[in-house]
Amino acid sequence: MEVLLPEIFSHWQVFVRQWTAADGDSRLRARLSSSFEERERFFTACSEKVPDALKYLDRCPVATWTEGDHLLMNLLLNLAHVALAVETQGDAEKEHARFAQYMYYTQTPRLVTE
Amino acid sequence: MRSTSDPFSPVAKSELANQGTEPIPAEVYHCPKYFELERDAIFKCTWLQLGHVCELPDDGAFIVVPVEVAKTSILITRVKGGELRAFHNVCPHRGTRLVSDCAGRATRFTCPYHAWTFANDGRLLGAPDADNFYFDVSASHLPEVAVDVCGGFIFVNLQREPAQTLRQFLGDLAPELQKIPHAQATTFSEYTYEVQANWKLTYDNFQENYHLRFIHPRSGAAAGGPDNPFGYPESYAFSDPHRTQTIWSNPNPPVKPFQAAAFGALANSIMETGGDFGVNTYFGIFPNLFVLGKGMTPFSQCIMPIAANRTRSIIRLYWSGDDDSAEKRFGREYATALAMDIHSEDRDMIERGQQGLESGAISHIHFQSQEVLCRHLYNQVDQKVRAYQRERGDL
Repeated sequence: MEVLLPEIFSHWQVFVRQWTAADGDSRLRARLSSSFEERERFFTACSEKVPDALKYLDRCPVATWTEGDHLLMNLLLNLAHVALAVETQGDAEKEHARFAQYMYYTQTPRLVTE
Repeated sequence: MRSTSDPFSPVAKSELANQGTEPIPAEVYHCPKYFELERDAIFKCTWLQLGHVCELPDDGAFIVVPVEVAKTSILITRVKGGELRAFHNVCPHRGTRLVSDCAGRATRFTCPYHAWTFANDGRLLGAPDADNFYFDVSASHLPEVAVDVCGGFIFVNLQREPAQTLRQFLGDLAPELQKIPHAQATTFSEYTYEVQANWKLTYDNFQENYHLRFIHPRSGAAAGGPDNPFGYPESYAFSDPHRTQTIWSNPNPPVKPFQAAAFGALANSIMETGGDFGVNTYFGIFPNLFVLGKGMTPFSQCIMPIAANRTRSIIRLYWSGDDDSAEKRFGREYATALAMDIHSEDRDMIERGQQGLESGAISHIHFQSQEVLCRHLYNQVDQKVRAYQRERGDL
């Protein structure tokens, strides 16, 4: 069964398929393999509401998060990577991606759920 | 002391000339024979940072770190009582690589070849059919190397009894390293990359800010400002064989909205865990480690030589406390991804430098005054290589 984002962020559900990679390296590869339009659409739709989404998640301890909350967290972590492509690299992202393909995440801290 | 309202002026060229002004021979960056000398003169007898205490949080934990430049692999264990021990990851029976995992928990290790078994303090616990050997097998022990900790960093010296203790080796920097956020870290983000380039060329890229505005116009835009367009440091200091610089802080960094939100989240999470924003000091620890003491980017880079023209960089951002909130998780992810963006841009330029040097087109390279830390590294390396050659009677 498809996991749904919390209801107040349900309008972001359209981004779930492409932008919920579960670890740092997968998030980097998702960024590098995406198109300019895909990144732009995701960033434009979600970036301004990041503080609200973080506040929403931190309303309760991680241990009590629902599957939808974890999905939202993953979406935000993917957005962190996409934001660098859109906001920081801009039209240089294509060239940047050529360099970034040689980088590998070897450890990403995990959310503590206990 | 300079006030924050004073316009920036870089350290004067004349003040840095005592580190030398001459061109540097290009061949030290690509010659296999020179690399072999570095292996013996430096890497086999100098304290090398191979880990952090947070990787071995309790008794029975172990890590295994490849050290290609010394043609070895090091097993570091935390034994009962909390003490750290370090060994060549080699069975003393026939030299077989003992442990294949990178990390884990084990109080004993069994060689896959003939089942010799060792405790995590290196003692032999048992060897099948031991009576058939021609020596006292029970006295066998994993080949041990020296290990010590400073600022949370685990250092290993491949000599069992090094000429200097770690504290002596680090000198004035030891107490400084103990004050930075890394010392209290309990976890880290890590990424790596390999580059077809010499280790010194790789290291040098991170020892000068001259290139920032050209290579990182977007990802490193905050590094420079109107009165310091190159983002040069406020000061340099030399504590042979190590070096430091005080990073200049841009009073008006150009921060974009998403970046502000991400770093705001990170700042909040640091405040929650005691508010240690660190220091603006860059520590260049000889031979192959540098550490940035800032709490927002508590960074280390270990530059591991593999061959004369091949290097692996291991970059870590050290964090205190678990990722136990969305804000913390998000801020850390963004800070790490930004650091990686910057490094990926550097990597390309480092490789291009190696290609040019290996062509043999130039016999020397040039360092300007603000590249003094690169010159210092070369000076330190070359002094040690020459001393080793003299000792061997080669000079």
